[in-house]
Amino acid sequence: MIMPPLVKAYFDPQPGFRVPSSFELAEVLDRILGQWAYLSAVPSGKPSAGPVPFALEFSVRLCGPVNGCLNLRASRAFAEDLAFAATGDLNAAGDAEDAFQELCNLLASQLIRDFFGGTHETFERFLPMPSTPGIWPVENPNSECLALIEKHPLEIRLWIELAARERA
Amino acid sequence: MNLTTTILLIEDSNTVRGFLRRIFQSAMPEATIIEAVEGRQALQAMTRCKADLIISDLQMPGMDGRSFIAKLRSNSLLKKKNVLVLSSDNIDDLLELYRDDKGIAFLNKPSTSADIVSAARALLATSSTSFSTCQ
Repeated sequence: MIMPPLVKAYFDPQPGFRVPSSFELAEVLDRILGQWAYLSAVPSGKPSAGPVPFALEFSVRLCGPVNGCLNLRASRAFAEDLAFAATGDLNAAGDAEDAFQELCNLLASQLIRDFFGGTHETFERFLPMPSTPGIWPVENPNSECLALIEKHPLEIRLWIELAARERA
Repeated sequence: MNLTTTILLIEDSNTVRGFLRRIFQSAMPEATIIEAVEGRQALQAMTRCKADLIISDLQMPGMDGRSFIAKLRSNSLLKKKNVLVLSSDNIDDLLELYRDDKGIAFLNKPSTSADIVSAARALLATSSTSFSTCQ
């Protein structure tokens, strides 16, 4: 009998909590895009100081051993390309928002695994929600990056409060 | 009637379903692929089609993946169905609950197409038969 494989990531020792650097955010994004949509992300510094209008913005609230907010912003053209790249379906443009929301979900999950205690800690279930710069935390993000995917810019901002663990 | 391997995809995201459909159409072109967006719809589909392999997300509107798997395992006709759980959720509870169940495997989301196909083939290899009927 062949044993079904299990995923190593669930059993490997996880690193301690820490805030990913700008480069690490882009690296995680690149890994996800490569596995899921055969795309790559190139780190291109930090997002511009003021909020630039983007058609699509989603935020994920993280509640658990660390609390925080992950925010992704990009153009609809990027999301349409993402939907096509993931599915190979020329008619996938209608699922652009769904593709972008899934990307947020995957990025949040991977950051939890890589930086915030993996699956050994309990995080509340989360769902990426549409957002606007008006509801961002007032503080500057703890980490942020601008990535270029093909010709499309994508902004990632991450606010993290590690205090829950550090105070204990 | 169609005599092929049948794969049931349960996933609420159109994009992820499209991704899975694409990789299985490429890796197993002989397979019949049926789709559902949540557990209840999947159970209805299984009354028409005897899926050899079920690939399921966990977080879904309607009947979620955990409830679907529990329903499956409590049904005498369906309890031996192979399930590949593909989720970004914390699955520690499921690993414990189904630790002795050789018909369930787990993969992180995202996983490479090679890992997904490999896990699917391994599960199908545990089946006594690889042929099913779809009406």
